[in-house]
Amino acid sequence: MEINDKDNFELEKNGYQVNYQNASFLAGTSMPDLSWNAIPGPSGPNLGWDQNLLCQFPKLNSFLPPSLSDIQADSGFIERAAKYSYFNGGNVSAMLGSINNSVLDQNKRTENFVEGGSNRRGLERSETGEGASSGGCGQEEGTSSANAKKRKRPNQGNEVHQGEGARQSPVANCTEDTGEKEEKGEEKKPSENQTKNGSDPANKEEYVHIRARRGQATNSHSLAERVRREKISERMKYLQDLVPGCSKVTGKAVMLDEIINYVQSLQRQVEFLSMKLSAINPRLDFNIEGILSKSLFNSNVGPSSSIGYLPDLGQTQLHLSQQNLLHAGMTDIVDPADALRRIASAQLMSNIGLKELPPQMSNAWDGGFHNLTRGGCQDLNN
Amino acid sequence: MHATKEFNKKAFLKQFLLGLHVSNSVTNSISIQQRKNSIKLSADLAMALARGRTHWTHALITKLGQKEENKTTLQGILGRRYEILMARYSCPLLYQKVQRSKKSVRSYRFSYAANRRRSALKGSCVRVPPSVVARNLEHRRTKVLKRLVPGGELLNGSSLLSEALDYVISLKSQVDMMKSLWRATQVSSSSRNVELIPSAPLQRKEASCTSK
Repeated sequence: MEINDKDNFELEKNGYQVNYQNASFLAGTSMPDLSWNAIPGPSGPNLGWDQNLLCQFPKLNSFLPPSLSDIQADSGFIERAAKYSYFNGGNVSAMLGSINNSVLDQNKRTENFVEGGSNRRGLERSETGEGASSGGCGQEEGTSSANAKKRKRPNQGNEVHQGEGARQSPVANCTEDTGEKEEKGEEKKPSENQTKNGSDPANKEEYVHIRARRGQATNSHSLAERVRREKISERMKYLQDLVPGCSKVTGKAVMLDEIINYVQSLQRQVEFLSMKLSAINPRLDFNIEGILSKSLFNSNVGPSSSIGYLPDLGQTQLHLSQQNLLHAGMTDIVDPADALRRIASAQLMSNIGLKELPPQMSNAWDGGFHNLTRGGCQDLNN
Repeated sequence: MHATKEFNKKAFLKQFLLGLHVSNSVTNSISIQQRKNSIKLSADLAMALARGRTHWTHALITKLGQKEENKTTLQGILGRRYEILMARYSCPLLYQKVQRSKKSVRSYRFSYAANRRRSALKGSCVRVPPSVVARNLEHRRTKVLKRLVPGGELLNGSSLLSEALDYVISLKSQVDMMKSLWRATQVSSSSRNVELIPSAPLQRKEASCTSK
């Protein structure tokens, strides 16, 4: 594995370098015993990784498991992991398991901070992007204490770091999706490093490494707070898309107000609709044609407002929707012992059992239904 | 992004109708209020069951189950699951008021009192710095949101927002489903009352007229 890593190192380095210019991410961690790793895999719209970078690090995933160890998670880390689960659709535990953090030498860390941030940003970003396999970020951190000067320029610095940091214990950085650092953080995170790690160079302690932004406080508390705030602002953005008429609204308080109004109006609508439904149905029995037409609506895109679709769809679609509904009904019944369920499903079956909708439908059906299907179209189309 | 309810419409509908059947058989409700309540109960339960396992669904089901009048209906609908759910989520601590951190309360009160004192000295109206105003507004609205979202009392910050997001999505799809169901019943009832086919036999026409 190591040999392979070294072989790929140059390639990766070059590719990574190329991508530095594009990427605006912070660097990630470096894997132990690996020359250089970058974390492939953009996770979503937030990441702008080039595809070639992705291709170059296909092996990363295999590297991670051996070096995994317990993760001493920061609160911010947990929050971010939870946030990533939104992006990745999933497995926070897998993500946590795959992220390998380790502590680098403090000096090296500070020097890494000094270097240009773009490469690091890229690595860290890729790491965040990586759902289950993020872990080794290429870079640095501690890699090169000696190359502090060279690190001024991102590209160069990256190369140097790669050379140096190859043997360093990896430090996993979980970064925010929002680009963390501009560049050379003056004291990127010396405070955090101090608090989190000992000054043990090859210590494989895990911790979460967050980049401080330029000109921002690097207190561990404020960093965690910033993580939290960014999470909240992200949720707010989602909610802004969801709640109608909130695109121009800015600010948390006003957004909250809109959300509250929307939720209240939706709840009131539910009440109102249930009142309406109870008014027309004295016995709470929804006729089967309602169900069938509803399933028709389901098969269409969204709820169609006119049942005039019926003639267009023809009877075949009706069959399909009936069968779908039936299947849904049958498979989802968890408690077969429930007699009532049986009755309900049997009712459904009997009503839907007539696959054809023959004109000579019996009056056992609700009388209006076959009128609906056969001749209703004419009237409805008017 | 977040899971949408796009794929759960069938599940919702099925659950809803099932719930209605059960509530219909269980209760002989005459008044519109009771019928409305049972419909609403079925709808909410269907929404929660169709959504799956999230914090607010459990909270909603538990809340529904705690009311006395719903218990029989719930038992009929959920069957064996009812006991399991109730046992798991009926912990009384769940819905007690969350203990506010004394520190935050104290600091909040302190800042507000300081402002009042300051303004009293100056003899002008209460001058609250905009940051405090924003914080107050946000705090108040977060409280309201917590009350609105089922199970929101226990959540904080971003988790509250994510639960609210999920809840809004589910509510919206629930409303859409009920609207289309309403429209379907409307259409069907109207079609029944209309003479659609001239060649329809007389008996059918009579049957349709008498049915509604």
